[in-house]
Amino acid sequence: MIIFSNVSKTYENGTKALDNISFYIDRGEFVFIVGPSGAGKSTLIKLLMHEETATSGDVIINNVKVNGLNQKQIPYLRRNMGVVFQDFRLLPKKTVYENVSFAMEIVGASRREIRRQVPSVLSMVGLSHKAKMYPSQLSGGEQQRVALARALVNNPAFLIADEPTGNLNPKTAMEIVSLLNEVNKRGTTVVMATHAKDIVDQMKKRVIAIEDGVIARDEARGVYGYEN
Amino acid sequence: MKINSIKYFSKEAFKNVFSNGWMSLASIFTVVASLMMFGIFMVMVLNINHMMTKIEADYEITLTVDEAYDAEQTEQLGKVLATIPNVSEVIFESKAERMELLRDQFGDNASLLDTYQNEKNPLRDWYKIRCIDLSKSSETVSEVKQLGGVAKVISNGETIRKLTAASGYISRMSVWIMLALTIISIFIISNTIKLTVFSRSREINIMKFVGATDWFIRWPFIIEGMLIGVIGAVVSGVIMSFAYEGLINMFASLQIGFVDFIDLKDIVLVINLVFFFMGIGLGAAGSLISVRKHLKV
Repeated sequence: MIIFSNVSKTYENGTKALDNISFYIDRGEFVFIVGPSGAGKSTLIKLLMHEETATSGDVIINNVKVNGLNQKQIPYLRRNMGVVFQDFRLLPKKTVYENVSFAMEIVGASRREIRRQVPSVLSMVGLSHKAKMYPSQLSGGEQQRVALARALVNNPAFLIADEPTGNLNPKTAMEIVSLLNEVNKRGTTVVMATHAKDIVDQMKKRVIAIEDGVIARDEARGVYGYEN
Repeated sequence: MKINSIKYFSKEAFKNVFSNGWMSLASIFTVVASLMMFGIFMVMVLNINHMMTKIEADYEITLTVDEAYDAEQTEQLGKVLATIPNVSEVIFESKAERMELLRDQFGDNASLLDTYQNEKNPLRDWYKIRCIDLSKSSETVSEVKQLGGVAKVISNGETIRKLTAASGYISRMSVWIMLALTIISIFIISNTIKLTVFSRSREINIMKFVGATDWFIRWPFIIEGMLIGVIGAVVSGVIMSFAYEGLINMFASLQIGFVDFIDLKDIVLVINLVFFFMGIGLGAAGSLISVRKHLKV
């Protein structure tokens, strides 16, 4: 589970991105983080990934206080969570297969495990036939599916998605979210920051809305609630 | 480290060297330039030491025996000389032997010396002594001078001592210069590698988000640096060896007697071994420094 307990984050330039927020996400939940631009969604995601650390308060992931981790422990935290970004962040010089297998190389998986797991996860995202292609040969939706495969290949407990549909057309976006929903049904906790009103409204999942650095709403079957 | 990881790192390093062709080439040239500079000083120091060792080994104090001394007294003098603490070797040459040597040197004109045989031989018996410690040769010379039966002492110890001091100074300076060159080289190489690392900073960033440890990211870069270092070492080793051979041949054709270089076969191994390990070291250190900044994510 994920616990934010009285978390505040003020950047070095004085910008207060999050102001004393607290929430609890249980194992297996699917949560949308919504809010206007600059409200603090990205900061929240960055705190989860330990790209930033909280100025005060505690971020607890799987009973581990993330803000107490030292530099050497961070990689092991990140191995427990798959991450998907708006800009896909694939390695351009690696094939689809290599982009996914490389996440397994990092954790020191054996050749056999890699050969078994990568095709399976590629088939799950529907890209088995494009394993040998390079990211530049794929459409946006396909690239995001590769990123999703990479995030899932090590069977993480959490999936953190930062605007994963931001660069995709509505149809492709919906496909990606369906995949995320699929992953969630298999037991992975999904936290997704998004601006996609249609998706949030359609999915009827828990919604945490952030405005000006504080939690404005936290609804079990919420809606987007903003005009795009 | 797991075998799988080592395989992965090596594969990545090899791939990167070739996929960043121009950058790798630039780094290799930097390594070659650095090693060549270093090598020139190293070869110079080695040769100066070699020549000085030879000059010192050849150094001897020569003393002629008083004509009034008979054979027994002369032999006695030899025994006394051997007891002087700083003397390592005493070599006796009788005037007859010296005349023979002189005749040898005259070669075809040896007959000119026919009139100076036996009683008419104007040469004197002499002793040549070698010193244990060259720096104490002047004390030894004064000790020898005080002995009875010594007519004249010939020694160029002072000149050799000055030469030794000068060569020592040059060697020490060169070692400092080599050290400075090594440090400068590491920075130049790290800056060149930094360009390749910078172009891959996004890649490093992605690796970090997927959960790669810092060492997992560093190793391919380090191996890549080492690979570049080794290639640079081989290139500069070959150039240096040929250049040295050329230098030896040039001096040989000029026939300058006192210049005595270390044999090519003796120095080639030293140059290549030093270059090999320095290349690996420079490459690895350069990579480590250049990748450091990008790991803070």
